[in-house]
Amino acid sequence: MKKLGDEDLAKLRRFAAENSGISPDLLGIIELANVMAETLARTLGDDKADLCIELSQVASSIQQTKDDLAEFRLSGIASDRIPAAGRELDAVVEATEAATHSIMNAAEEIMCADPSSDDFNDVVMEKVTTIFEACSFQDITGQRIANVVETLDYIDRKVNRQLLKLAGSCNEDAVDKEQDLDEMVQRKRDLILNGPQLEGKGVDQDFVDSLFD
Amino acid sequence: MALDLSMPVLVVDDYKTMIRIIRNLLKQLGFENVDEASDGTEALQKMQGQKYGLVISDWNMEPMTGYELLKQVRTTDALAKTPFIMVTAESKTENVIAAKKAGVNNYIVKPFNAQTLKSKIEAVFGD
Repeated sequence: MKKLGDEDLAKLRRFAAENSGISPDLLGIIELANVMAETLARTLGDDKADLCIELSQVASSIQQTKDDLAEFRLSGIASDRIPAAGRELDAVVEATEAATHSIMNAAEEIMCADPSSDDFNDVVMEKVTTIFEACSFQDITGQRIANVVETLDYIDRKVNRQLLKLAGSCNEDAVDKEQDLDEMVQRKRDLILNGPQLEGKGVDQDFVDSLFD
Repeated sequence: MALDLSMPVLVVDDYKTMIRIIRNLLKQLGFENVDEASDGTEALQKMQGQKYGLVISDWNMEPMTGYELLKQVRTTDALAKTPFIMVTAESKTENVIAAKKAGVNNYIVKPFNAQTLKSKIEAVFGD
């Protein structure tokens, strides 16, 4: 709020000088109050425009924050990415368990094979091949875990950017990181990098073979 | 094309375990001359220095994917006719179709078994 202007002060001084010898009575006090009210009205009137502007800016800022939060929710983190990451981890557990059983079964069959039998070598070779095939789980689970890490990274960047926005600062570094993220997402689309699919979601070898026959 | 078990085969994958698995399966099939690369860039460099009878490549690798490698191979005169099999966890229809359009000879979805690898190699060479 502005201080009283020179004109307003001069008016108050004139009033005080003109009435200094008079005992304060009700009419005098009312008169003083009127002079004060007039000067205050002018002061507030001048400041009213500034106050309106400030309030308007605060309202804009609140609306922007609401829009940012709405955009954050729309980015699909809670509805898509987190549940998808959970399903990927479930698939990792299942694949690891299946591979472990496959390897252990093959090892047990080798242990039980009769070395004196004519087909001992064939049995061993077959079971060893099964073990090699089962070990391929590491490749696919590795890709699934990489997808989960990518999701966590995505969430981290999004949250950081939102926090910076709410704090009123959005530094160049945060903007650059978000652009890197967007570029990475676009590159994955361009190179058709979908990653391993969950059970029942991808095509099987028979379908692939039908395209090549 | 005739299948020649002595031909050099290039296996491209960023997972060492998978390279070991494929190498061992190829050995069981009779292929002894197996080379490896950890991504498309390294594979392309090797292919520019040596002729390979077959390339078996993963898709999802950095900095160059198997899909990019395939496209580079097919658009390079000296390499264009190299038999190329994609062995990958990318199992969406769009992946298979894109690879076929780019000129892949065959496509194996991970996880796979030795019999599948054998039959796809034989299919490429017409055996």
